[in-house]
Amino acid sequence: MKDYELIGLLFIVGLALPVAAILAGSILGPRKPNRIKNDTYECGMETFGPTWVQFKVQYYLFALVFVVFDIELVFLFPFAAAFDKLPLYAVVETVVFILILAAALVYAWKRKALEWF
Amino acid sequence: MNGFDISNLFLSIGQVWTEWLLQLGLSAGWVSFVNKLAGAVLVTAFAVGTVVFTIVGERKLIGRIQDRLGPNRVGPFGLLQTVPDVLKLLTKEIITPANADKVLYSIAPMLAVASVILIWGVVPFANGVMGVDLDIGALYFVAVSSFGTLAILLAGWSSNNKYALVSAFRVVAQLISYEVPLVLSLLVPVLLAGTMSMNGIVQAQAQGWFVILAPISMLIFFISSTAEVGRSPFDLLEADSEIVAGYNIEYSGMRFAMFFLGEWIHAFTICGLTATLFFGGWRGPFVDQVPALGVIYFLVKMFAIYFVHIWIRTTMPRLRIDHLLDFNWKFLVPLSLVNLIVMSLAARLTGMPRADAALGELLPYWGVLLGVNVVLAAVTLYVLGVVGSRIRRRQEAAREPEPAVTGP
Amino acid sequence: MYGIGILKGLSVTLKHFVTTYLDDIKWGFGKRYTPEMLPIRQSAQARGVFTVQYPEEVLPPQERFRFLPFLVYEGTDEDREYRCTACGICSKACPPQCIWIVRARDPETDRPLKTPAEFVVDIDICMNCGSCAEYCPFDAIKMDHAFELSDYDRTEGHLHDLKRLSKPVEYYAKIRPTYHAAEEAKKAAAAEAKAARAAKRKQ
Repeated sequence: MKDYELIGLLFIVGLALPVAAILAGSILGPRKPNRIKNDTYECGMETFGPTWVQFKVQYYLFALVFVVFDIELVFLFPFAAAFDKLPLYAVVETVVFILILAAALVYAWKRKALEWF
Repeated sequence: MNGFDISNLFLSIGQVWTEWLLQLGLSAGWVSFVNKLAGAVLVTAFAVGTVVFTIVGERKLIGRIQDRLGPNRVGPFGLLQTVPDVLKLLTKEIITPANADKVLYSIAPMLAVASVILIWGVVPFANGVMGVDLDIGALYFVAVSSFGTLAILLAGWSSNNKYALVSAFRVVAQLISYEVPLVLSLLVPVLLAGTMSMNGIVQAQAQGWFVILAPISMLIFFISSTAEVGRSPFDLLEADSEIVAGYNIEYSGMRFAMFFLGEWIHAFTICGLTATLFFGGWRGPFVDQVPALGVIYFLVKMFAIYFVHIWIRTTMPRLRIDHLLDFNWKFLVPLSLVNLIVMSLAARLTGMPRADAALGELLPYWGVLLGVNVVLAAVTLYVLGVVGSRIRRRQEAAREPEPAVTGP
Repeated sequence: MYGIGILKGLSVTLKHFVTTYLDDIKWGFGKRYTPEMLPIRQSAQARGVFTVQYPEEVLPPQERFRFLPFLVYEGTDEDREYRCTACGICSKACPPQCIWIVRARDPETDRPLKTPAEFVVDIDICMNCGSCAEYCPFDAIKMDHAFELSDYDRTEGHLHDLKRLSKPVEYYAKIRPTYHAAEEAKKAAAAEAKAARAAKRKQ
């Protein structure tokens, strides 16, 4: 756990830097908001309808496929780290594991989840 | 105070510094805390300080590639160009759009910077000269780099602007997708080194850089890291000509500068990681005798890779989003899965050499891994050729015959 | 196919990158647009950086380049003899109507003189078409080469008056030598013909 002290400090310093910069910017910069300036910028056109609407579902499918792989990767990291101590059958087992997940990719591919309409 | 060892400059400075702190009468706990704080500040300062010059350097290189001069007015050779840029951004008004989700809107730029600075915590500059040698360094990198994705997603969503929203969705599609081959190819060096510690991975490359042992993984990592940084040809996130500036369209002043800063730090951070994982990091001639040289080797490698990034950036046009995703999911991901399987089997079947193996013992190991890579590359290209020509034939068959040109 | 196109593209950009430095070394680092280098820089063989560092280096304008009209006068600076007769054709021909002329009058007899008292061009309105110079029957108004006309005052400063507009005929001969020579030759031929006709009549 001692190792992570520096990471924590780094996070604090890394956050302090932008906070300080934005503070300095807000002190040095002018502050004259008006209705038109604070409007949504869409190249001079008035914004039309709500922004947060239902969107193309395809993006969501990609995110779902990603989640599958991300979880797979978390399992693969310990395997890779302990690789030089593993016997051959363990490696083959992992290969089978990867193949099962590759089958998921093939399934998604065949079901046209990876197509962009 | 023992002798100041110039060959191990950075660790010696650290020792002198620690002893000086102890002489001041601080307790050991406080000294350790101050040291860590100093480390964090140094790493941040390195990242931000480098950006000041990479921005100018990149603009100059791009200028040269396009037969221009690039910035050359402020300071010698225009090196101080960034200073007036920052001063200008400092004095600009920070606008918060009336419709924005104000909390998320103000958090996003801070996260964008913090996430990339966090990566520098585990990058080794020289043997032992690094923020902290986490034993899960590679996994830590994966975890922290998705922070950046989150920051961009937050910015795009909270701006309440349609361009920004489109950009946020593209983030989902692009950054998240390319993280899969990135991490899958990152597994190969971890697997060959047998450790997730970044310094351990560099030390394991004493027997040969992983770019020789696993060139395909290197290429996949390089391509997907370009996509992760969001640079041309993968700059769909902020495609100026389509969605104006993407997720940072509503940001102004210092908040915009923070996104900019984060993006530029990310650009050379990913090069530093490529150097560490595949090009031997701080390894180079005489580095065992003079460890301080490692920093120079590391920086040289990092900027050499950065140059290739810039070079590609100026050469390639932007991809279309369906091509981008097809390239990832139908080419890079299957290839990196196969690559991982093949590499793990090949490395296990040949047997990993010991750390002190002689050159004679190493050569068959190198030969097998390199050979496997070459065969895999050849098979990939063959399959690509067959599939590509089949698709092309199908498209040509489906295309309607062009109407015959009739006279007036 | 197989990414060869990508490599080709990369080689093109790299070639440009290296050539700019080779070109710099070849010419010695320094100004890029000296008079000796200009013909090479502007030819098809030009390589390397194309940037003209504007305030320090200025490309000479082409002879045909036209930017704002000016009035040609003969004689010295103190004793200006305008070619302009204040006929006003230019101001009538001017499509955006940016020319303002007031004819001079004899201070004693109050009769109109063949010379302008005021001649103003609003350079914000002028569109550099050159119609005034084309229509002028006395070759009195010509198009200029000077284009660096920034001013701190955008009202009075952009109204160029007679004093500012008028330039000596030597200046015109300098910026447009071929045009000037052609006009002079035409004038000389006309004078010769006139003299010949006069001589004929005398006989």
